[in-house]
Amino acid sequence: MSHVPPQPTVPDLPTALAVLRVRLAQIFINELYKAGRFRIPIHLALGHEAIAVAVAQTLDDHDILVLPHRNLHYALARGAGLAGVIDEFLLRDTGLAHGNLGAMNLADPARGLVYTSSILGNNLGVATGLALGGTICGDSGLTCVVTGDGAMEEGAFYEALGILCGKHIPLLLIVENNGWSLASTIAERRGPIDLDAFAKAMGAGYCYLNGADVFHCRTTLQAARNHALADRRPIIVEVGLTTLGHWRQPQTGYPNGKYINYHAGPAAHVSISPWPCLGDTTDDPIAALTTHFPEPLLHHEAMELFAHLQKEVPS
Amino acid sequence: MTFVEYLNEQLRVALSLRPGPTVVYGQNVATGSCLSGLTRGMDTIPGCTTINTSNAENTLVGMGFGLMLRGVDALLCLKQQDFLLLGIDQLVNTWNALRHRDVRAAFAVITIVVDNGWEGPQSCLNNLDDFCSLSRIPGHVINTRHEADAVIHNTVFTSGVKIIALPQRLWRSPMPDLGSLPPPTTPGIQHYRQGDAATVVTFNFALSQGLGVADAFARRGQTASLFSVTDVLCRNWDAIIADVQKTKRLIVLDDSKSINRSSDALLLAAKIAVPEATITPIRRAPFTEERSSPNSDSLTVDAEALVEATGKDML
Ligand SMILES: Cc1ncc(C[n+]2csc(CCOP(=O)(O)OP(=O)(O)O)c2C)c(N)n1
Ligand SMILES: [Mg+2]
Repeated sequence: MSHVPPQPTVPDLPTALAVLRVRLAQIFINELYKAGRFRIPIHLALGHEAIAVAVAQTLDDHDILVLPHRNLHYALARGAGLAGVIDEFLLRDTGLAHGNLGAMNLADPARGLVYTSSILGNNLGVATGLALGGTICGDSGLTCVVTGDGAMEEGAFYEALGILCGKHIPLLLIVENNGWSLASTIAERRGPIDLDAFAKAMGAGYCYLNGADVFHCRTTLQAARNHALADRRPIIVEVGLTTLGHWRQPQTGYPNGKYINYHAGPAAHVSISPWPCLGDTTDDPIAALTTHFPEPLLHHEAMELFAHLQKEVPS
Repeated sequence: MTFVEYLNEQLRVALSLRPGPTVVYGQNVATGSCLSGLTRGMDTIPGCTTINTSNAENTLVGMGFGLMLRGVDALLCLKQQDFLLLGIDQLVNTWNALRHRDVRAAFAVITIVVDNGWEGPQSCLNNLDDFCSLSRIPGHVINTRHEADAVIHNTVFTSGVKIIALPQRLWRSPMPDLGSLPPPTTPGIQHYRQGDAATVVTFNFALSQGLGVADAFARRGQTASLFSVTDVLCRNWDAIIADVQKTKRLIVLDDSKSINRSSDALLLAAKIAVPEATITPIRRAPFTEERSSPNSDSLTVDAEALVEATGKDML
């Protein structure tokens, strides 16, 4: 069985800083994006930092990650430098993937980010093959694949689970449930899907994560990883989270303005600040850190991180 | 009026004239930007049901066939041609089993071609020829107001299946209007200009480049005939061959990324019918490994050099 180095069981400051780093790095990228520096479409993952940091801490060096169109947070959390990511988005040779992949297909095999697809559902089949291959080759690494509440509507979601369960292949299947697919809510596009019941019906495991709290995510995910390996089956890890960067558009019939979901592109209403909090403790992993650590301490650390990251940003 | 505004207006006119029920469906057709304006306002047309669907393209294509069999007109709108790949089984196999049925309703798939290159290797398809070749379903492109009128009012709602491709490159530009023209002698081929120095024939979305070449002839005091082939399965080249017999020079421009281009059929027919003609095919650079990363890919034509190189057979 693959071995994960023991992780702190209580909230620790380095983990909080990892969350802050993923947020601040995205804020810098957003500034360049707003200034029109990128020609490629980028899906920022503001609000998705906690699960990415928890995944990075839960997986070991042999474990691999398979990602969808929204993937920046995982690349950063798994250790990619901000400069390398920015250069990749500028399609430079010095980029993380030598400027060959851009944003929607960003992969980094050296850090275990093996494959990323911009086509919904596409990565689930590939992840199934990677996981099966791992068991055939006796590789101890676990495969972890990320999808969304929208992408899981593709038939491949069901098909992949059927094979994984049928062949007793361990895998973590993370569903980032932000309630949206582009501009449509779940209720607009389909009926609700009870993933717990669905997992049971398929023979898979299931757990739910509050995506705002990195420590909750980490503890639950570690348990899920151990279960996947011990029970030799896939586990659906549903993460409830909010993609931040939304805004309200003045419109008749909407006294507070109409809620516009952030999907991709520059987050026009998000501005640069060393304390990059965009929501509250229920929806923002940064705000949620204040339930574990004193705010002045976090502010101070954020200032230092901000100054450090700023050096990686091209002028 | 922009390209998309004109399409939206004419589609709404066509929908409101339908005698029976119609379903317009696809992801985000009646929410958010409504496919960048293409489907805006269709939810208020009497008799027209709009459905913001889930991400399930294989089933969405199958649904269109089912609606058509029930006598309900179906219009499936997809934000990118790439996503139609997930429905290829339905296009090929379902249609193979149904093509001889006497269906009265229409099923049209409208795809937007986002081939600017910046979206990366999985979101840059411009391959209508391939979809039509596999499925033998008629395919149509729109470059101008004439072509929009012909496709929307004479094709979209005729009984049976068809795939329509629209160029995102023209989306926000004014709808090209090439003046009044006699009705085409061959369905699916627009004859825009008469000339005697060369026969310029454009396929797919290469009409703007074709106009550039025709203008380059005009700057030299010469005239070129200009045709645009808008029907992918068209194989009636009589009008074009008659023109080449007169000009003895054929220039074929095609911005399709397909390797099985329908323009190849014209090149062959012209070579056989007018062996003494000079034939110059201009195509897109092949899809090499290098070009599979995000890039500024497009069909570039040096019109002046092309006009200068008379007498050079490149076939
Ligand atoms: C097969 C396919 N259909 C449609 C799309 C267009 N598309 C890109 S992202 C997206 C929304 C996906 O929603 P979800 O999986 O929940 O991820 P989120 O963007 O919410 O993080 C859609 C519809 C696509 N990329 N691939
Ligand atoms: Mg979503």
